[in-house]
Amino acid sequence: MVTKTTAPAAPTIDPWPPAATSYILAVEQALGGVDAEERQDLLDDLRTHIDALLEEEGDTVDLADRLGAPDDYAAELVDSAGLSTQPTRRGLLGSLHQRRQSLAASPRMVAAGQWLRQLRPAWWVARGYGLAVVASILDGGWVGKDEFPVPQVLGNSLTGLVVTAGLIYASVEVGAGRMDTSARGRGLAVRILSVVAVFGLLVQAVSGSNDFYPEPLDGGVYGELDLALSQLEGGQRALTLPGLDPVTNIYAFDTDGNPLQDVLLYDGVGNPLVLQDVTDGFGYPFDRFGLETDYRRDADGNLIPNLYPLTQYRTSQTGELAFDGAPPPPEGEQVPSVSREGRTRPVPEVFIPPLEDSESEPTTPSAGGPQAGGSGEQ
Amino acid sequence: MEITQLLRGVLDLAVLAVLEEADAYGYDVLRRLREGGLEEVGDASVYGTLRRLYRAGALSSYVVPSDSGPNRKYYALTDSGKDQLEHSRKVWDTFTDHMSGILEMGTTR
Repeated sequence: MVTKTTAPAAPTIDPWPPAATSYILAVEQALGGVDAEERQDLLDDLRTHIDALLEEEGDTVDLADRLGAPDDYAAELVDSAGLSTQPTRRGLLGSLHQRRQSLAASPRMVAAGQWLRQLRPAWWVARGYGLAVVASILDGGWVGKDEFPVPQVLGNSLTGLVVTAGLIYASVEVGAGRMDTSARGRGLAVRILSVVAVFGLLVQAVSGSNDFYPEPLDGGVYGELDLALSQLEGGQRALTLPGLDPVTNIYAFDTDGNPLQDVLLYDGVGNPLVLQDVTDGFGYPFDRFGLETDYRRDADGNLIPNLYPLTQYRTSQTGELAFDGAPPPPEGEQVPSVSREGRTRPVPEVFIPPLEDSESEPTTPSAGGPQAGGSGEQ
Repeated sequence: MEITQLLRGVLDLAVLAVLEEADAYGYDVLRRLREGGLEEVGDASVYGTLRRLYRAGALSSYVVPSDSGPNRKYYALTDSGKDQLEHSRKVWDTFTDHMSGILEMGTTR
């Protein structure tokens, strides 16, 4: 047998008259004993044939009159095609099968099927997009709302756009029947890829609805925040917002609203005020997912965890540094001065490590020293 | 005698002959058979015959996109199909000669 190409026939009269769909379903039912692949080919031929009839003779063509009763048509097909039929299912399974078939051929189900068929182009587009999402995941990246509407591929949004557009195009071509998928292997591949695409869409839906990234709270720099201390693993305490959301950075300002650099912060009993568990056991800071901090080090190479503001970067899906979250206040805007009643603060007796690259001398916080006129966190 | 009974035995030959003239899709084969005088030929018989000849290797198929409708699956004769047509044509010629002779015997008696 020589095959150049084959492809399933896709009806173009849309929507089909319910009578046409019912006729095909009835023939399909009558062909129940025929090998599945052969049956599919015969039904594809019948769809194309009916499509041509509808085009030439109009929607009102009486198919039963023109082609004969569905059972007769099927019997003639089987006979002329020299096909052998398997005995049809009997017993409970057989009756269930028949009931399902007759339900599928009922006008209401046919109408519902036709309505759903109108949504097929949307599914074709979604399938292509879902595959692009999976391609992005396989590429080592991750997908989140930051990258909507196009997932990155090869760490690049442009590549992602091209891949997404290509996959959507291919999906639509396959769905519309313009791409050859009739070979058994290809049909199976389309089904598998459709399942994979659904997975990609689910991942996109989940990652889009949940906040995987801790967003630095730039907008809350000047806000009144009810800070709380929470216990980290290892007994360390860190600042958190109500609800235990992490405070990721602190910016200090003088009473004139000027941002202060290289400020060492301590709590009331002299413990360094840290925002996260600064070591992971290997001498490196443990960073939250999607956020990296460059801690400064003292002359001995030890991390200084409470030197603010921290230099932080958000990381992209590919691990590239994507955003420097440093400069807080917009130009020209100043934090309103806050008059504070002078009161004695506890003086922690702590050793402040000298800063190698800082011009300011290490100081011990004192009650009379300058206090931050306002502070916030990002 | 019903023509449909006669058709049963010669539809293969008729379909092969139509496709020898030019490649065609199912609906087109049916139309050309009817234009040739075989009004009684059934739609399902033609599609079934095409499928059987295709499975037997007498036909190949290819898809041609159509602007006005769905993709059309065209059938074409393979070398094997051409051999089959040639053989069937000789059988048919011999058969009709013999039948004509027999029928004439009846009329001249």
